[in-house]
Amino acid sequence: MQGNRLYEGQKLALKYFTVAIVLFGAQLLFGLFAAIQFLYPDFLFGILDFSINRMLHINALVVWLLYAMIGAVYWLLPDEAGVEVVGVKLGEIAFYILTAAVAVVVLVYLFIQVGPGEESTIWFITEGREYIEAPRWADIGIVAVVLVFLYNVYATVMKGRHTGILVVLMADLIALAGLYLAGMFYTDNISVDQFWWWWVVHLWVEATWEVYVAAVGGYILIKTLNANRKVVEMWLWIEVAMMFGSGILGLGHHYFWIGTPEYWWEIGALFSALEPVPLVGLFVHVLYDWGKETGKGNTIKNVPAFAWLTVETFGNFLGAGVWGFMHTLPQINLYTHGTQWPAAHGHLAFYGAYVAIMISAIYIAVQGKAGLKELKMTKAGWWAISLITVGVLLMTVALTISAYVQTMVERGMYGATWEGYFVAQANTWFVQGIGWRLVTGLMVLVGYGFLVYDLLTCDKKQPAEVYEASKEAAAAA
Amino acid sequence: MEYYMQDIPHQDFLPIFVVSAMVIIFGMMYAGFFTIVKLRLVKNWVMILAYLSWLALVGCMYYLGELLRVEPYTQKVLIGAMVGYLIFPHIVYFLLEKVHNRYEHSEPELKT
Repeated sequence: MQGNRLYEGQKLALKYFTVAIVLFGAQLLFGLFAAIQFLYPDFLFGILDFSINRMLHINALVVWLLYAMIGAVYWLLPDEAGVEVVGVKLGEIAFYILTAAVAVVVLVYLFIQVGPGEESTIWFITEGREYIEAPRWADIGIVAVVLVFLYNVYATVMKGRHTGILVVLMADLIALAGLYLAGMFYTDNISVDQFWWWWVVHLWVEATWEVYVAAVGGYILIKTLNANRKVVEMWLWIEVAMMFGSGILGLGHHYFWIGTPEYWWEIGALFSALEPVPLVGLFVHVLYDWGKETGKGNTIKNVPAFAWLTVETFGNFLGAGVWGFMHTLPQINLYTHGTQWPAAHGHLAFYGAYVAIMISAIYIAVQGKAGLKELKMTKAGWWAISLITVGVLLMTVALTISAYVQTMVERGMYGATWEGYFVAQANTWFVQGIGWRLVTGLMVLVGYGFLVYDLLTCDKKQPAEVYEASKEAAAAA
Repeated sequence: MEYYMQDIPHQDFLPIFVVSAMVIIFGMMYAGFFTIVKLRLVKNWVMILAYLSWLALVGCMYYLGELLRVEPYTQKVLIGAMVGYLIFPHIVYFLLEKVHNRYEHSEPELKT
């Protein structure tokens, strides 16, 4: 950002953020439909089946996070490198192609819900791999778009400053993009297929995405707290080492029961146990920088962004760390996998680790776009963060109660039989947990309404002194 | 391998979930208390809470190992991990302080 003028790359980032927020809404809506169908299976049956709702709920999450991630990189890239994004026009074309492709894929999902599974299905309808169901034509398109994005990042950094944050991002984005290729080929052996599929899913969310979050989190700490760059980058290297050190072989916890050799039990157990350590590191990092900088009398330059970053550190720790470790070791995972445990863990972990920090990055862009020296929290902003966070936390608790019933009744008492499955599904506690999940889902949706309103209006609802200080700063510049 | 994976009675499920959660929570408390004492945000005696948290962490990890019926090799790995976790914040804080002191009085060239 140059004064109140934005780089072209940052204008492109705003487009990515806009689509991300729209898709976030779609994710919540389809999730809500699926939550209703858990309780009332006839709801929208034959019109929008549970399988499609669930798929759209999760795909929308993945895609909006990717949009927000690309947006955040386009926002910070010129700011960090000190030069305009190279190939920004190409980036803009890629943005429109990607958005059109996403729209077509969703329409196909909605209009062709049932049909034969043939070679043409893989190419034009769906590849059928959970979370990354996009058909092959879209896969190839995504690869082309990501190559443009990578070119823009690399060419820009080569031309501008090589900060620690950018260097980590460059290495991480190559891995993140390259891993997508592991989910693009078809094999009719389900064990082999799952083996490679986890490379995408696990090595994204428990390795490359975590490193991405650490890098963007470092940037947000500099922007919100004026944190010392050298200290931030020092932390970043430690976190990257810990995340890759534990996250890559943590992959083993997905290989316990898919037909892979038994040595994965020990590898998965050991590295899964280490995975929470970088999350503790991330938490302490924010605590450290906050303590150091506020101790020097520095004020928080963007309160909503910092508040969401705080939610990220706690949410990541609780969702990924605590809820993950509760059911990750093979001895107990034997009884928990395939129940609502992963759903409880997944909801809080994704919210904590990724959703919160992406919203934080969007608030940084809101402040930059408005050219404000500071951004205070508005009432709508507080309602948004409170309703969404408490909603997701309570949803996790509700799902945990249902999961516990499944583990005890279905797995423990009935030995993972069909009878056990139906007995557990009919258990009052299980049903009540699923009911409360719907209530808390509604709470999150209301919070989302406040969030959208706040993102659109918060720059116009700041105290007078914020505008005065911004004017003075602009005049001085 | 038979030793590694024994059946767990379903009465042990709840303690396993609770103790697993406490392992992570005490781990965070140890690192958190350690950091805020080092930052002088609280009085020095709070460091006792940090080490008590570490002891609680070790206790929970030991109990978890018992509940999961881990084999002797894993028990040794767990003990090593606990000792490593005791030392870890000291090393990280040492590195951070060195970096911080080095740049404390010099304006970073890229502060944005």
